[in-house]
Amino acid sequence: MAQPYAPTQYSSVSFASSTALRSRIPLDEEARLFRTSAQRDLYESLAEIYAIIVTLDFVEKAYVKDTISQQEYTHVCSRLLAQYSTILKSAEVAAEFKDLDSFRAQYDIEYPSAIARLRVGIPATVEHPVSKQQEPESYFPSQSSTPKPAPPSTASSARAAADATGNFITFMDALKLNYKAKDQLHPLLGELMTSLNAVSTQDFDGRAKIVEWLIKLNSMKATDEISDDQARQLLFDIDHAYKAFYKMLG
Amino acid sequence: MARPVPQQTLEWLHRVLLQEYRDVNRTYSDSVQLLQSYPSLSPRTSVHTHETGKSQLLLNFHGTLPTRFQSAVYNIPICIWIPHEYPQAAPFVFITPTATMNIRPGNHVDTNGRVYHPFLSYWNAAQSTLVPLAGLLCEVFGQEPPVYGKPQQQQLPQQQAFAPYQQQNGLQQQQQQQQAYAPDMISFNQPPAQQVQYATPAPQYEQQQPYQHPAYQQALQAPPHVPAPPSSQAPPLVQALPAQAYPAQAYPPQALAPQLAAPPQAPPQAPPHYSIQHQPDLIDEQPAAPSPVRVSTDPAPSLPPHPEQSRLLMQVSHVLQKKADEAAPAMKKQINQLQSSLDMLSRADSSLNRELSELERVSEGSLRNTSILGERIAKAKSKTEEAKARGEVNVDEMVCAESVVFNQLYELTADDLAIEDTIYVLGKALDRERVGLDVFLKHVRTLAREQFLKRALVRKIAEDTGMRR
Repeated sequence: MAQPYAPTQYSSVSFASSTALRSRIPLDEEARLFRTSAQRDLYESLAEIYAIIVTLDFVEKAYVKDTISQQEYTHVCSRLLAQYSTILKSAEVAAEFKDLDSFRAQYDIEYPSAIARLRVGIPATVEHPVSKQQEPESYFPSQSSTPKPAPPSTASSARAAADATGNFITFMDALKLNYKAKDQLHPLLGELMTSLNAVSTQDFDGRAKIVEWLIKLNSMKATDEISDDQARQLLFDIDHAYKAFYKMLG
Repeated sequence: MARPVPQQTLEWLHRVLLQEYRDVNRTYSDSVQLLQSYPSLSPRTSVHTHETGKSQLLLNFHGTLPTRFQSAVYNIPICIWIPHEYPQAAPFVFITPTATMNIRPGNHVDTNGRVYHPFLSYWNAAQSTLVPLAGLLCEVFGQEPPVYGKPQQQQLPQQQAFAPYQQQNGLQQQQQQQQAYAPDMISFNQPPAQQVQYATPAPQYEQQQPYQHPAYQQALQAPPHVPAPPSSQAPPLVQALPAQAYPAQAYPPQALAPQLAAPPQAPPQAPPHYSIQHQPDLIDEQPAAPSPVRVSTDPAPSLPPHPEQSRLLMQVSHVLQKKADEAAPAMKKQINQLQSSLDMLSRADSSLNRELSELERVSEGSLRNTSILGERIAKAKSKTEEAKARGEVNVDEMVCAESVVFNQLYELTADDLAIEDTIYVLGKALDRERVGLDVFLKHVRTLAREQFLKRALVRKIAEDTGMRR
């Protein structure tokens, strides 16, 4: 006997009849996803998150394929990331969402580029800054002609440098004041990163560290805090980066 | 739910297993575990008739399995049979409905009450045992009860037999009766094994389960009608007491033996006949061969034999004898050659006959096949015509589910996948710069939102209807 299920004349009927017995909802009327408007809101927010993931994935792919320009990409990507964080601020949504991985497993979502971007938390142009005119030295060390980035015009560059310095100081003060939560540190670090990019795209010793810390902070939940050891390490890294930045300026 | 099994039952079980079962230790330990875990099951041995007609005395566990269906506990009456080759062969399980129940055939139970489950079909001698089987059956029956209460009071004789059986108290008495009964059953089974017709009396017999001697003798009288054709003298012997059944067994083989002895004797007789027939011819030929013998020495018959005459006669006979001796080997050789050619010819004749009959059979078979083929072709043609006459069918209406929710499920899944494809194509369009980024983004957002809602609903339906665990 090698039949796993009893032979009946209408095997489809038998499966359905057994399913009918097991079903917890009536089978003769259409099923609905939500019945109350609170449930509707919840599902619509989740749908929004899913839409962001899909869109982000295509935008990433387009950037990599050079279909869209860098400004467009940065603009769209930052917008999408901001929308994503905003939606997740709501408590019910966050509770239902749990975290990115469980959401993916539940709804069978692939889109790996988008997931990676969401984990990092910043657009690719911020993570790997690219100057507007030419590629930075660090990416193409073997090229014959690698001129230094064009010196920016004095006024805007001075302002940018001041911004960057101010952000450095703000961040280090925050750390010294024992700010440890992600939602306190991450925005500051993000601004610091942006202002650094505005000054120049030349890599200095420590920029990679900043990016690394940014990613680490991004992967934490909003209410998570970094430990004391991590705080000291972060302070040291930022200090070091500040000095390096200063050296790079002149 | 472990309850200690009585020592007597354990001993009886071990005794029974030693007789016919292949892996006694494994069967014993599995059975004991099953009995401990499910006190509503009890062991016994009875005769089981397979679909092939073969009957065997097997160990089985009968009783009820407690199952939970919609927050009520139902006891499903089942019977788990353990074959002799356990654990190499999987056990088989039957539902034994009482007089007030009807079997409901479904995914796991067929109309005969046999139970199917992937655990049984993928039975592994090393890993599968009885206790998980019983557990799985409880679970499966809890989701789809295999029996339902009967509305009318119809009582089929088959089920009626089970009702009085279940009311018998004293399990051990039954077991011992069963056991005392068993060896007789086994011996009785053997002689008529060649008869296919025995299969029908046996099932009737095993269902009449009150084990009393009058019934046993009645049943003895029923099958003897079957062995009547080969030897008419067998029935009178069999109707005697069971002890005398053994001579009956001996008789049919003996009856066949003389018949077998007779044919071999016939061929050896033929060659001697044949060789004897040759001798007179040889003797008849001899007077013609030696012609120069003098005939003048023939005296008158009344005179006493002349010495000269007798001497000459002796000479003649010597010469004749010598000639005969000389001719004998050549003749013998000729005889052998002729004999062998005769053999060959007769063999060739028989083989030709065989070939002829083969060819006839083949041609007959081909004719039959032709007619069958012709018939089938005609049928196929008519079906094709019929199908053509029906016309085009709407593809969308071909596949439909049994209920509204399942139809909805099909639609939703189809939509989900369709949106997936649409988004992909839009992506390709963006690559080729047929659409601008804004247009693209807007559309993708909308489509993705829709897709998510459909996917969430698919998931919800699957969970609610119990498709996923």
